[in-house]
Amino acid sequence: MSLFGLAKRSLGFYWRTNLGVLLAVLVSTAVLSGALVVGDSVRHSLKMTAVARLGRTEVALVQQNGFFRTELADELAAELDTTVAPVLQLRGRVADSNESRWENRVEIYGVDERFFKVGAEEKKGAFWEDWRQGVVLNEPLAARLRVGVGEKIGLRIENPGLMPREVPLAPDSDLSIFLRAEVRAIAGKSEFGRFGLQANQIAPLNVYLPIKWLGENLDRDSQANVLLVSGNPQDSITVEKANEAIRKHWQLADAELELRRLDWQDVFELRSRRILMDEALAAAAMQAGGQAVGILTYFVNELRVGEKTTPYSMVTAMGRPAEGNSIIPSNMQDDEILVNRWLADDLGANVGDSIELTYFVLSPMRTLVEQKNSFQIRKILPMDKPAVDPNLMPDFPGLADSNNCRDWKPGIDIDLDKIRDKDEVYWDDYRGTPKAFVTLEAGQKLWSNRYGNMTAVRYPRSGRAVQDIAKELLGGVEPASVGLFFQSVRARGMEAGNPTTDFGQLFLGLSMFLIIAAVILTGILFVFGVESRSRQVGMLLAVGFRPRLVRRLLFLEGGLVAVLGAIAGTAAGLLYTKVMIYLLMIAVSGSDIQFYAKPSTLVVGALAGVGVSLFAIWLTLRKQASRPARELLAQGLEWQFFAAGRVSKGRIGLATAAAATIGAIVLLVALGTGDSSAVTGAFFGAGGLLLIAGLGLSQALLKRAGGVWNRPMVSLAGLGLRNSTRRSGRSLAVIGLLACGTFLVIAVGANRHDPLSEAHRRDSGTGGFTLFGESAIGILHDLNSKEGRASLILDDKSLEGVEVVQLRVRDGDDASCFNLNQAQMPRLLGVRPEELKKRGSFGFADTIEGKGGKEAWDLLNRDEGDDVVPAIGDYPTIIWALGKTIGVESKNELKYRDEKGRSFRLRLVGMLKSSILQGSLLIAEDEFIRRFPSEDGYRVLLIDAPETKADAVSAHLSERLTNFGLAITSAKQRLAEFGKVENTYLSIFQMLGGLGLVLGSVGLGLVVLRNMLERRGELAMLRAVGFNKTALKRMVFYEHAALVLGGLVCGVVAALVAVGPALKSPGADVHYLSLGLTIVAIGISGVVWIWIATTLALRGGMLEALRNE
Amino acid sequence: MLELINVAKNYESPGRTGQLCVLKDITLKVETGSSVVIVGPSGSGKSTLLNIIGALDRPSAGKVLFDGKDLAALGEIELARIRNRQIGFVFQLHHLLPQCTVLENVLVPTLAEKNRVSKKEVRERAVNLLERVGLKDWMLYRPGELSGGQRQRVAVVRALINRPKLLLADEPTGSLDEASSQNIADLLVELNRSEDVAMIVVTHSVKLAERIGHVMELSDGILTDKGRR
Ligand SMILES: Nc1ncnc2c1ncn2[C@@H]1O[C@H](COP(=O)(O)OP(=O)(O)O)[C@@H](O)[C@H]1O
Ligand SMILES: [Mg+2]
Repeated sequence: MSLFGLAKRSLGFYWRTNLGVLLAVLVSTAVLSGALVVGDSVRHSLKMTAVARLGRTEVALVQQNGFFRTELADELAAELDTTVAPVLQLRGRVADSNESRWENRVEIYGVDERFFKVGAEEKKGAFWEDWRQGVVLNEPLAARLRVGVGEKIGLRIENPGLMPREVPLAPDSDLSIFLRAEVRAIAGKSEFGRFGLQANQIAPLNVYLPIKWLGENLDRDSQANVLLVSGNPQDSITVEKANEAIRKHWQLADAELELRRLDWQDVFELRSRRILMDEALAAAAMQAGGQAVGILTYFVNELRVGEKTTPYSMVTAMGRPAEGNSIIPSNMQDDEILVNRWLADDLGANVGDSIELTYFVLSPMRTLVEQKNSFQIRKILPMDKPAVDPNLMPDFPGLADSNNCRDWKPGIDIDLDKIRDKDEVYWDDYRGTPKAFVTLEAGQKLWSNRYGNMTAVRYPRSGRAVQDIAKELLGGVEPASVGLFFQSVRARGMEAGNPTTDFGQLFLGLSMFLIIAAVILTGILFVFGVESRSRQVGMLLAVGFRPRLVRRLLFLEGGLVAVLGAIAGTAAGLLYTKVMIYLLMIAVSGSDIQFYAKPSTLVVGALAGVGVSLFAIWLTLRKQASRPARELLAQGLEWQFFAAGRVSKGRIGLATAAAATIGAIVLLVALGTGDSSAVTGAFFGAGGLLLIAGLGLSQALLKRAGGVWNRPMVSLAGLGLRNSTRRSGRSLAVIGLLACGTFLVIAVGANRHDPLSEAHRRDSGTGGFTLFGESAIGILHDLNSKEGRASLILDDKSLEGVEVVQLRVRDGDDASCFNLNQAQMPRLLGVRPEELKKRGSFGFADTIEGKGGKEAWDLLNRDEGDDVVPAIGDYPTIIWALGKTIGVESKNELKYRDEKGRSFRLRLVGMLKSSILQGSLLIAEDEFIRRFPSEDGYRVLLIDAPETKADAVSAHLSERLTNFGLAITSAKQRLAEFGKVENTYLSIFQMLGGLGLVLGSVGLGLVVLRNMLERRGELAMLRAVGFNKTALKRMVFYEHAALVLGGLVCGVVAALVAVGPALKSPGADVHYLSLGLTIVAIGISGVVWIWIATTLALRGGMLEALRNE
Repeated sequence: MLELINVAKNYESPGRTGQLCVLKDITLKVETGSSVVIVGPSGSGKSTLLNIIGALDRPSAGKVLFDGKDLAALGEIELARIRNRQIGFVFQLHHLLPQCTVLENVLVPTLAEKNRVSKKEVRERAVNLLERVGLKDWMLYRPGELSGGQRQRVAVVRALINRPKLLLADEPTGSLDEASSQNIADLLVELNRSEDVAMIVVTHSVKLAERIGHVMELSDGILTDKGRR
């Protein structure tokens, strides 16, 4: 026999009460550990997703800016001793053979066997074959298109131009290519079908096709723009090493440069495949090789002297090095020009004449802006070398390869009628030989743009070989500055797998009330069990047990129950997890979240369950065994002695109530006005304080009422009320439980928003737009202008009254509530702030300057310093997905990298209310262009069409812009889908809160029953002296109804204060009726429990109870 | 061994003014191994007196000396120890733990202080005592399976398990029938002798009082010696 043995004995003997306690512990543990396991499962699933989408990729290079040789992969593989897969990644659109199903935004990957070596499971070595004209779809895509192996599909793939598409001369006729192909295989997860460099648990839609075939069709043979470097067994792959390997092996071709020897000029000439050489490269090129001469040749629309004009000509700007191996004399001024004889004759110009040049410059949306500039003729050059040099014209697409001027197809509208026969002859004789020369400085001032400032660099041969210059050039440039740099995608992927929102904590929060209710129930059940055995406690004290020992004994017993309950609860928690995961998958549809429980989490959950239960038990035990043994032994007579107890005035409760009320008032006075987000917090805080105040007041009232014992009772109701004061602890628990439950039900209910209630307004989440469009291929033209519409063959009439805000897109992590991963580099949208400001689109929730309203859009233009870009996002994006805030120094910035690998910071300056822009951050377009010059065109369209013709507009645009892979959805629908996620969480919360209330009312029933049983003798006596049963029931009812009412009033009042701002906010979708009904239902369920308990207790031999005394 | 000197006990009385004076001036001496029976009408304060003697309650005035020590000077923990080691209680209701066997019930007081005596030893004593009260065969039964008289005998054994110097019994036969009452009375007398334990028994059964020994009567808060009959 030991203390433990004794506890064990009691465990079995009082199994009924202990079972109750055990069940309560089970519930709290199940909910607790279940919530934690949800966190585990999400984390694990994200990690698994990261593994599935990256395969063995350790680091990756994504050239956003152009293309490099596929051979680079071989060279790096040898250097790094691992597999390196070259990939040609593009965006596109896929449709089945009869265009009945399509997907507008798919990832197109040109790959070879190395890709699968990096990503597919090892045993599947033979997955890759060199499918001719064949493609592989990943599972989700095949499922969406409902195509299988052997079926045909049509692919529309973006065709990255040689020149940036937005340069006026670049053609826009070949924005995409179309391929018909047969599906050769479906890639599942184990075949790297899940590949994607962006962290998202929702599977991407991928098409794989042979890189060779894709390259041929795009005229990009042996080129790639992505490198995946597999980890090797030595585990030696790092970003630094990979970047070092690039530095060692890269060649001019990897920067799309070409160095060739020009014979009669006796020079080496450096050119870019992209025509314009970007500034960093150009600067390095000028440093290399010594005596470099920079060249910028531009297409000029017109050369004019007086009334005479010459159309469409090349003009070359050229450096004038000291050594003088340039056509430009070293003392030539920037306002001077050299013309060739032909031009001078054509214009009848002489030295000293002023000549006016007319040319197009780069402006957004391909609107051509013509500019003019005049020069003074310094000299007329003879039609001979060195001035007659057709090599000075870069290979402008559409020009360089034409035999006749009239066959020119530059990307701009040129008036072919202006071309005279003599121009045709000049083209035949001299091709693109420039007709005039200016200084490089002058030329660059006029014609350089964000894509570059030179078309060629020439080096005198001076007995050197090509390689010498190439080496010197490459040595002077950092590969990263042309976009060739590696990123540690694995590390980043794994980091992203630690979601911003810890779903364990989230669900713990959602389940909090249920847990609290279960814990309180644990306490109530346990203490009732103990109290029904108070004579035993008395006996133990009488035979010499110290009170502490008695408590220890009881605690041991409770502990055993708690441990058993927690073990069972952990098992039940696994079930609970499954339910929660199911709900989560409803919330974030398309996610694949797998159940995963870490043993350590289960242990933690179980321990926490035991912990909180033991805490509750300990709380109830504190006062046990503190009464003298003789009183406990005389338990049956106990109620007679109660009067002798100390009279407490409930000072503590009163003090608490007063302090909390004062706190609430202070909070409201200090922060309750104005319109910042602090108001919401202030009100919520005040509500919470009032709830505490209410409970304090209840406690005081209960104690007070208990003290007025020597005033005569005047009514049964009075007796009832007095009774409920006898056990103020348990009464308070009941009030507290009901009050908290009511508070939560109202608080959550009031925060439910109908995202669409105000959706027509411009300051709502739709921005007043009716449609939201996203395309795979950038749209270059202005969809609002007549010309823009015409060039896209859009019908101006169908688009009458339609306004489009076009946004540039830099792809990145999806930072919306659909992505459970932590978005590291969210998608960026480039916007012209004034456009949204003018419209007053989207409402601000908060800004750094505290100013709301449409003026806040100006914040995007703030000068925050050179490497800081102001950004705006909506509330869910900033707070939930990115885990950032506005204004707080350490939490308002994100690190980002521009396309040349330079890092900069995004500073959050404004936060929109929940909107259709969720998932992305907005920055000003000019900043966007500065950081990402090669992102061509606009890929997100915010379309404001009259409601009545929205469908027609959507159909028209989708049809005409099919080649851009444009997908249009209703803005409201998009907003509703985002809203659904939030509301699903709220629903889960409410549901769990409801369960908590059910437990709460079970607790209420138990309290009633317990009270009845304890007072069986008293009630029997009352009956014996002539009260009838109905009167007694009424008494008991009053007694407990007062508790229910108290709880409800506390909860309702506190909650109404807490949610005051939410009720008034636009879009608040408060279902007053259903809220009211819920509260009434809580009240009724309380009453029902009271009734059941009373009936049970008053049933049968009441007088017998008296006799037993 | 036990000495009460001018002990008084008052209770605050609610409603009424003044105090309820239950014990007025009690002086009593109990020698080692002797036995005293206290009789008196219901409500006369017998239980109150016994509780004071048994260190379950403190007097309002006067002194209780146990082995010469003043109980009033001792703290709760020392009192608990005295109750555990020196005093055995038998109540009107047996207060056995229904969840434990007879043997275990007997052993409960030994749990109050850890490792004071060897487990084996107390167990042997328990079995021995149970044998002497004729309950050896019932050792592993639960109290619920015993008759009222048997239960009270278990309670008596439990009171003696720690070899107390003083056994207090408050109406030990109050809820028993005639035969069982006799039985218990005989047992108490027998144990008083064999265990060398002083004994104070409260009863209102005159018959019982006569069997046990020196009778005193409590009424109006005063204890009067009725002597041995
Ligand atoms: N804790 C107490 N508070 C107030 N009065 C008490 C208390 N305990 C006993 N009494 C009163 O003291 C008197 C003596 O009670 P008690 O000692 O139980 O008598 P007996 O055991 O002789 O029947 C009774 O009138 C009783 O009401
Ligand atoms: Mg009594």
